[in-house]
Amino acid sequence: MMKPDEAQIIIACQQGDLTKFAQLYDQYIKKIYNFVYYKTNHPQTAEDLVSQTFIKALENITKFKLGSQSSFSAWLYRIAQNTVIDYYRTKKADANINDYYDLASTEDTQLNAITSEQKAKVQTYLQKLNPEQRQIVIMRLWDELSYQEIASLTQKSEASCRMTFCRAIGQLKKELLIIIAFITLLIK
Amino acid sequence: MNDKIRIILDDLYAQDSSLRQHEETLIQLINDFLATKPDVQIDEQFIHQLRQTLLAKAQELGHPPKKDLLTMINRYRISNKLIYIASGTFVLALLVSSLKYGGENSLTLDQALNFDNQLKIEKAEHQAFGSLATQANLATTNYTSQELGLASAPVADGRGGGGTATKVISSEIMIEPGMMPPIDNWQPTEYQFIYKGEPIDPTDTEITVLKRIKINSSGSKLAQVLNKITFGLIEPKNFTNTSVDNVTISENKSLGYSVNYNFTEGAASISENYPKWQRCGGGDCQYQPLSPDDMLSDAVLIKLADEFLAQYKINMTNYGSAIVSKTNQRDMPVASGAPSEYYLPENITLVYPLKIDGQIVYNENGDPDGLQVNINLREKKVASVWNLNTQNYQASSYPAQDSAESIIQLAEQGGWRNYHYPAAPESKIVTIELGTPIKGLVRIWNYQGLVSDELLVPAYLFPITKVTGEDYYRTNVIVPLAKDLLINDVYPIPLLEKTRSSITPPADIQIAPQPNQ
Repeated sequence: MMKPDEAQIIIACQQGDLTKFAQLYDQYIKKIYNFVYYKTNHPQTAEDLVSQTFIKALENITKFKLGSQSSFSAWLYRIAQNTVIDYYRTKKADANINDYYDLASTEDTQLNAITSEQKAKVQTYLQKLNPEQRQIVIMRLWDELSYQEIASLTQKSEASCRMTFCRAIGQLKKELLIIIAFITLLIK
Repeated sequence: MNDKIRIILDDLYAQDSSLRQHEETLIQLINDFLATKPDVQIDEQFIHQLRQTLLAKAQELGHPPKKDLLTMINRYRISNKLIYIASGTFVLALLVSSLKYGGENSLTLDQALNFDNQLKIEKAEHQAFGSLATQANLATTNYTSQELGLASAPVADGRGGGGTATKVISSEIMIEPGMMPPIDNWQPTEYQFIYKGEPIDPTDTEITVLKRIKINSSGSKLAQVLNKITFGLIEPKNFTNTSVDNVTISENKSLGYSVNYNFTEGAASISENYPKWQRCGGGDCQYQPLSPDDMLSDAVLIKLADEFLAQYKINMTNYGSAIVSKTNQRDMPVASGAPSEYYLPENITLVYPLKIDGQIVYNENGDPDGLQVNINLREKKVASVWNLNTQNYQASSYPAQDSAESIIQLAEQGGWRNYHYPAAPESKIVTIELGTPIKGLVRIWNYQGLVSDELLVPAYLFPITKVTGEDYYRTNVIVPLAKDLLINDVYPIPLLEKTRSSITPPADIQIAPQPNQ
């Protein structure tokens, strides 16, 4: 559901007062930056892509349809996602876009040691999931997106996104239970 | 356990209640995920810089975007600091230059700047502007609507809620996947355009196309003034071949204005100095929606706008009388009569149509195009003035479409760049009758790599005389008379290659090949 203030701002922008776009920017910049950063793990690349995202949004805000099923946040996230996809498409023609997290881990040479360590731990979980599950888990747990926003981004129904997330967590739960059982057995 | 984890768990249990017995494991798992979430450190300077860039661009645009900013972003980032310096110190520069340097450098402002809207047209050779067909349609821009995430694609310019035109736009033509989302209970509309006017006789074999020349020497002359001032942090004079791209001057008072001069676009605008227009500072203070009683009559709106333009001495020689735009009022549910549902926009737009040699300029939707004035209904005051441009043009001749049959055929498809969703068996039919056309100029943007040319092309405007079946918000259907446009620039949205090739065009119309083919 779009906030009333947000709708007013969008209307003002669509009527020509685009300076009000700055308020939307203030509201979403950190969220969009995080969203893009998780997919690139590279600050400068993230900054470039975030800049492109907001400029595309500014240029096209007159085309956003208030009252449509898609919320503004979902629309903005989708622009960000497509900008990232476009980036990987340009950078590596044969890349599987859904594997961008892995791509980033092999390409990025500027990660510091702490981030690399964190990523190694995360990857043990993420690599057990298929790309679709991985994408939805990241959006839900890290980006803290609603299922409505995830549905809009993935072009799936909310129910399907909930089910995918549940299955992914259920799958990881089984893995974790096996590890716990194995460790318990060793201790005994 | 925090609320965040509780919500996630509740969601999971709603899907699969058997997971409840593994709650401890799930909490551990989710905790691990949340703990390993990358620690993102966003550069505050980047946030600030991008905000400034967007604000500057917002001031430039101020109306539906007409140019590709992405291609300019890198250049803009580099030049930003100079622009901010120029903006912030412009007034100072004027004062200092007139007081200290005016005499000894003989560079007074009267001599230096020639930034006006006096009409000047110079003749250029035949077809001097190259192909008129926009390169955007031919994929010069590197993103499509789909990539922009425009699930609700910008195609329903007929504003009937998305529909389909018959004839050329048949069910064979498909939109790229993802551009049109499935919408429950959505019924497409099929628009049928029927010409009911007199026979037309387009005898001209050539037309004159105008291209606006945006840049003149104003920016570089102003830079010369600034180069004589010691700034402190960075000295403009240490840079070479400089010009001022953009200057903003703001009134530091309640309900004050900001004036922006864009020397690269040859444009000036006036807008609210936003912080000075906020009567509500947040907290408990919230704006109440406007009520129907706040709406002003057309006569009052025009009077307010006319007085403002006169007060600020805006040269209106090239503009016709004001028209109150109904575009941003169209969604007001006035008819419902329910005050709680009533929505009134804060600003009402008036358009003073641009006239070139007696011909009115129209936008691609068929509405008069020109100087725009927004009136703020809450303050009953002009809020902004846009589209005040320099009027320097080059004129070049181009082959004209001289076949009456082809012109009417395109009008009956809804005109140039008319596009609707593909037809469907369950479509509802809206019949639109077109009257005898008048001649005018249509303003189009021709994207050529990094530059977008602003062109004025002679066109036929077919007035919509009758609509049966539903409201239809366009008032005119446009058919430009440049043959090049009608041959190479018919379809506004990138189509799948295979579907492009499967289209059967009408007589006299060919579909341009995709670039890189």
